[in-house]
Amino acid sequence: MISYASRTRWLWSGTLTLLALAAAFLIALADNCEHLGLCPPAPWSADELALLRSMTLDNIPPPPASPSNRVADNPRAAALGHRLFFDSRLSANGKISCASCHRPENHFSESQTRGRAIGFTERNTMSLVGSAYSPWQYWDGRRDSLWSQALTPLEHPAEHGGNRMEYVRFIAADPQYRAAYESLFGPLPDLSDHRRFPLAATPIHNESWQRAWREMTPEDQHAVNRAFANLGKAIAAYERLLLPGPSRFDAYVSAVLAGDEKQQQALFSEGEIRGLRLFIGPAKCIDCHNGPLLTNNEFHNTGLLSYSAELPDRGRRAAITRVLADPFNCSGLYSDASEQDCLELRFMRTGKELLGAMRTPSLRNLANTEPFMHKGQLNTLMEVLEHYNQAPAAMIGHNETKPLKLGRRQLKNLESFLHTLSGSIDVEPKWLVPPTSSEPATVTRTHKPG
Amino acid sequence: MKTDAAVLSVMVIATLLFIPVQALALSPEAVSVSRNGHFRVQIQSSLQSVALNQIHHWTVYLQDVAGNSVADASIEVTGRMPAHDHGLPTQPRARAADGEGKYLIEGLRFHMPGEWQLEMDISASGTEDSLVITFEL
Repeated sequence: MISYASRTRWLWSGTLTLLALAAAFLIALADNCEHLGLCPPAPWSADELALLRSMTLDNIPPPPASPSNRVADNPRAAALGHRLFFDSRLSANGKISCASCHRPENHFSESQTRGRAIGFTERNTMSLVGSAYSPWQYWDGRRDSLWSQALTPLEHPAEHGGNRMEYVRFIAADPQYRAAYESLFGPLPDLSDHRRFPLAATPIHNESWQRAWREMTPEDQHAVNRAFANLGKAIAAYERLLLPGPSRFDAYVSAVLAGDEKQQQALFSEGEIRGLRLFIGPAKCIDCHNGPLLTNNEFHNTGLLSYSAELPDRGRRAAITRVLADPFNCSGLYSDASEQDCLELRFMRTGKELLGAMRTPSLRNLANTEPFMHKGQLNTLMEVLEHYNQAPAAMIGHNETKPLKLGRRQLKNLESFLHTLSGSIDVEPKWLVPPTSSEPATVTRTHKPG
Repeated sequence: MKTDAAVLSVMVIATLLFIPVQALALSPEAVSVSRNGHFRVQIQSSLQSVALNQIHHWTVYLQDVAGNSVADASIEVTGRMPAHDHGLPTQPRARAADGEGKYLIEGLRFHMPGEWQLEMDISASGTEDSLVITFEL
């Protein structure tokens, strides 16, 4: 039988052990709260505040000038481009427009592994929102302007599948298009002599169209090329209007800068704050996803697997010869820029570090744009975060990233934060739907930066 | 008083907002000396402070140790981030701007925050030397 005194001693020692264990647990928790993602959010440091300011849309300048496109900021060109963008008659089967893959409801991207037009494209469709800020277009930057990019799918057999001669003929035959075109660019070439101008012709892809093209004189080829380039320039003027609008993240940073704690709490959860702190800190996302668009628009190899049963994608390394050979590049005959203005093309880097490198995409508005990465290899944001957490060796070239070694809860925090970056598109709603026939050429932003 | 404080705080916040965050001050007064002491280099950036993701140029004034302008130099420019396995996102080139010791380094762009090293390999009249400028963006 245990005496009262010894029972009391047992109870005391038991309680003390429990207390000691609890204290040890709390100390361990405090030491590892960062890793476990359980630390209470600390106030933002001066360095962190500087980074937050650099990421908000409040500080975004207007898109950089596009010297190769003299109508880039002309509202009438944007109105023409708006019509062309949504017009499915600009395709071989009459069913594909730019908006078939760059869908307004999916933030001018789409929720497909690869672009689906007449056939399938080689890679995932990039969003056009904010693309006016990028010196390079496509995942590999094989085009150096929005207008030269816009021309490429029009002739690709798996996309619009047409040819430049038919497109120019189509514009010439439509009184509204013809008037809009000629008021911007001057008279269209007279295509009535079918011996000089065959019905269908282009120097690329389809063999019989190529043969027809080769039989044309260089002067006639030039006239068609120039008109075709102008269609791209009008589409680019429209695409330059598609800019990201403020998100919950931007509102939170405004509240932080104003010292409005109540508003901060209303806008961001503790998990989202932790995610943001990881984004600009230990997770190093901001290394590449920087600035107000959360992209540096540069090329990086991040060790992504190739699409199943495909050879690894050579990415930027293979695109350099393509952009240099593009007759519609900044230095080409159809550009409005002087050679001096083509800074990005003149000072373009080459080198083996670009093997397997792809352009950093913007992180604004990730909602409804899954799957992610250049081939749509990763289905969810968590899969993307897990990829960067592991940083596997690259199949081709060299993975620039290193394993993050973050805990599960930290990845969840990062994921929560990424969802705060969704917002509207900062332009009047009329530009986000197919145009009506008599559209006034005015542009008003819904959000006024600064 | 309260209004003054409010106006002041708005002004402070507005000033903060318009200061480029990733600022690199390239002071025209600052003179760097090349590794083996053969050249003195002064640099000015075309951007008042170097911001991320903007292509721009730097103006370089090159002198010998005695302070005389060096007009006939060739300058090779390379850059790297020590913490990452890559260099600059562009291939900048230097050219003489006035034939009197002023050079332009064109096509500079920095695409990541962190520590950058820009190396200039300078060669003039048989003298070769290099200069590494380290800075944080």
